[in-house]
Amino acid sequence: MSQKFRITQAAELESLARLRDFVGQHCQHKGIDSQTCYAVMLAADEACTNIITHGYAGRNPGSIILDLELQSSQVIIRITDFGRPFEPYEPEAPDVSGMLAGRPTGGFGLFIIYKTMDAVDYKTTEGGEHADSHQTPLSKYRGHVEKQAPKDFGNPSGLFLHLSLQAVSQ
Amino acid sequence: MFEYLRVKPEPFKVAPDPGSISVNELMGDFGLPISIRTINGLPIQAKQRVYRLLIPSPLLAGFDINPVTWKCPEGDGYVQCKAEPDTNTVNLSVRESPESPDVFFCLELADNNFNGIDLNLLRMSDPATSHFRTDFDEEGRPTLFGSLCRNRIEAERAMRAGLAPGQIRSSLGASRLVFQQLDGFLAFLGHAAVSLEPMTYVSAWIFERRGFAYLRGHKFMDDVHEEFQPGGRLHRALDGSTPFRQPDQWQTVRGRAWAIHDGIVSAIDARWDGLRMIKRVGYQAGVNTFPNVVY
Repeated sequence: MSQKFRITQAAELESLARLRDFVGQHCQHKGIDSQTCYAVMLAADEACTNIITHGYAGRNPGSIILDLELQSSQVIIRITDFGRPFEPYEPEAPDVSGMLAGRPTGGFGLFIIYKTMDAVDYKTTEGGEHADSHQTPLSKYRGHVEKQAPKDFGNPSGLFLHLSLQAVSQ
Repeated sequence: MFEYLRVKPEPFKVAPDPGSISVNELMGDFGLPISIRTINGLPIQAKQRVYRLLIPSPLLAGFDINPVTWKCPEGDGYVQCKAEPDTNTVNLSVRESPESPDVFFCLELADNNFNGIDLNLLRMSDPATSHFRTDFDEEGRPTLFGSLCRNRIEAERAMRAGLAPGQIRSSLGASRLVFQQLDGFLAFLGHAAVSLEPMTYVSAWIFERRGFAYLRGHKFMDDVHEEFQPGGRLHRALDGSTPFRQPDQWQTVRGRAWAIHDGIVSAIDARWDGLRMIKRVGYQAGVNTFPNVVY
């Protein structure tokens, strides 16, 4: 039987610690192994950072809703926001060679999410900024369970399903 | 890097063109969202059947109005449904009696530009309670519930009687019932969400409790809460300079709402403007920007 928890915060960087702690505390409290717990916290943090810095950039920030579902075999996070959709893309491995000073900042977020989670999805509505609702479900198998093909996360909460991108990292 | 990468475009569903719609069309695609404009194009009996879903039956029954026929035992109709063909708005209003000038329930929905539904207006007031003329200024001009201009004398009376900004009478206390009903109506039409603009701090607080999240303005509401705490700029601005800015008002939703209605948020270089909220059908967003609340 799965257990579900929800937190809703303003989409601002100050909320990140609360969102991250919410995930960490529930995972630890429910006995999720520390490796899985850390991976889920990291991915949630990166996904929320993307939404806050890109989805709500330049607007009066709205809400960001984080749903955490703990199943017997996996941990699922669904992040819902109402900002601008960000383009999901296949992230290239960031260049970490050479001097630190010469490297561009950023660009690690999606890479980290895809690297740490077993399934990543992104669903958005189409129809203008006011009607948008986007869902970013992430899932992580607990412990050392063999990775499987991405599950179907079902219909989004947005008004219309526009695009679904699913990927599993090796 | 990826074992599996798939881009899966799904068909983009749009509401049918305005005009008549057959039952077959309605039932043909379970997920097809139907617009208000389409419903308004139905024959009058058919659209009344649909819009009957919008008014909670217990609300009408409580005023001895038949929820099915919309008539009282004497046969008079007290429910008015404005849903003209070729328009994208439906307005339902209910009076206690046909002669009564006061509407105790009014709900207006409209198609928005994004193929969704907006809740333009929801008014519920208990006709048995005292009336305050906050909806008209001293010269008899409409105040649009205090959003256009204010009747300060009546507003002060209303505040002292325990009302919130924008109210002309005490509330019916039926918002939970109405939003449950609205959820069902939107699901029936195939819409997944409804959005609105909260006119006052109190209404935003009520909508939060009814499951709404913010499209815009969540941070603003957090800031307002923060600044009303002792030491905050809004707390300091409750300086007694007007009847609506008394020092103890920071502690209650209504107190804050009257101060905000009085323009106090200019103290944080802001305006009550541009907030937008959204409720997903079937979901409670769980927003609470005024924890440990006293109404």
